[in-house]
Amino acid sequence: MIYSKISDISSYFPQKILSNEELSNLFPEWDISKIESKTGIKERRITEEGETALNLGVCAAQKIIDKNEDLKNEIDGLLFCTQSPDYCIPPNACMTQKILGLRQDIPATDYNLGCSGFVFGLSLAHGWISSGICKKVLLITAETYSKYIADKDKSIRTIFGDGASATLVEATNKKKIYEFSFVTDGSGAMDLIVPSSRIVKNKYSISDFPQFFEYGRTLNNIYMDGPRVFQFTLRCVPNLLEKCLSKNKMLTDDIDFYVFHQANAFMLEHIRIKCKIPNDKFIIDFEDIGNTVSCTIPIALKRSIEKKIIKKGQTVFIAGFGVGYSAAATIIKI
Amino acid sequence: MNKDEFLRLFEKTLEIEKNLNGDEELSSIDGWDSMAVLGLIAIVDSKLQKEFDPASLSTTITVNDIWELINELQNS
Repeated sequence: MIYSKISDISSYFPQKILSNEELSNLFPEWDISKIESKTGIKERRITEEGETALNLGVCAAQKIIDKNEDLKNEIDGLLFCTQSPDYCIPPNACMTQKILGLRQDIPATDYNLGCSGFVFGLSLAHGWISSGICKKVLLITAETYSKYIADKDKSIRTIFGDGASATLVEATNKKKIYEFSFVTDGSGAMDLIVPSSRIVKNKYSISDFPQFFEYGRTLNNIYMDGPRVFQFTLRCVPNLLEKCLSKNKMLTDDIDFYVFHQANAFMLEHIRIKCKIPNDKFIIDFEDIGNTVSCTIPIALKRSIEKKIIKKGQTVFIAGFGVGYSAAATIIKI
Repeated sequence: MNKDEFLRLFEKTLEIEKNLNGDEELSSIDGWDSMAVLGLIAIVDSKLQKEFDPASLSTTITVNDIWELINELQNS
């Protein structure tokens, strides 16, 4: 039996910072302390014009390759998770292969998922490895939601930050990535959406869909119905946790740490209590970067390992949930 | 959950100092925003183990209107 494991994680952020002070200057009716107490976010990194998810993802991946140049020839699978690819055609993954100088005889593909994207991608990498297709898969998540956000959309601007992660997943003879559980519920598609594209144009009128046009939004901007996404999370996550634990024949006490998608502090705290997870086992680490969508889990994992909060040999439950609606969970051994 | 308990929880959600009596118009309350709606959902979820439909807020004008929705939900 071929198993897989995470052997390295890196992250990369744009230089430009959007602080709560700046947001408070832009929206004077907002109290800075309230932004922080409600969201758990002090600042987020925002890409400049021309700086893209491809750039961020490549920079994150390069950090892993810089440690070991042999990886260029050893990486035999590439996954690129983004909802802000440079182009509709071609995929970021193919351009990444060229930029990083990876082999040409490897599978490489983009996939379009948000907050569930990392765990979902880990399942794909795990599948490629356990079926013998690949031995070392580079899983990149990179997101630049800021490019979709309307300038006056204050509630969304406080939450999301841009960033990227790269994770090396490789074959091993010990079980380090366990069984996965998933939720897919397309009934929530309209709750987190950019409602226009080159393919679908002007489908939604202001009279029928006024919510898409509030706070200066156009159909090219991202719209999020936060309360409905929160409801999905409350419905979904406790069940997902229970199902994934039971699939792996584990109990909550078998888990050393929980790393959930770092959505916002309020949501996380409520879910933590609902799932009866002790505070000291629940990782929250995003106050200086915001919600970086598919990147939050690998970044929080990496930081917790670096800070020696999560140690080698420990068991970690990871779960991502959001746009789609889509959710995915698994258990990993560090 | 009685009305008083709800009002105290709602004050906490809104992060306001003053005591609400229920007659206040929502539009006049500092802190009544999308995060406060998440707070309402969380109150109903944790206290009643039920789902609060945020769409039902479209007909509410005062804090009492929200309490009536929640009370209806807990008696349903």
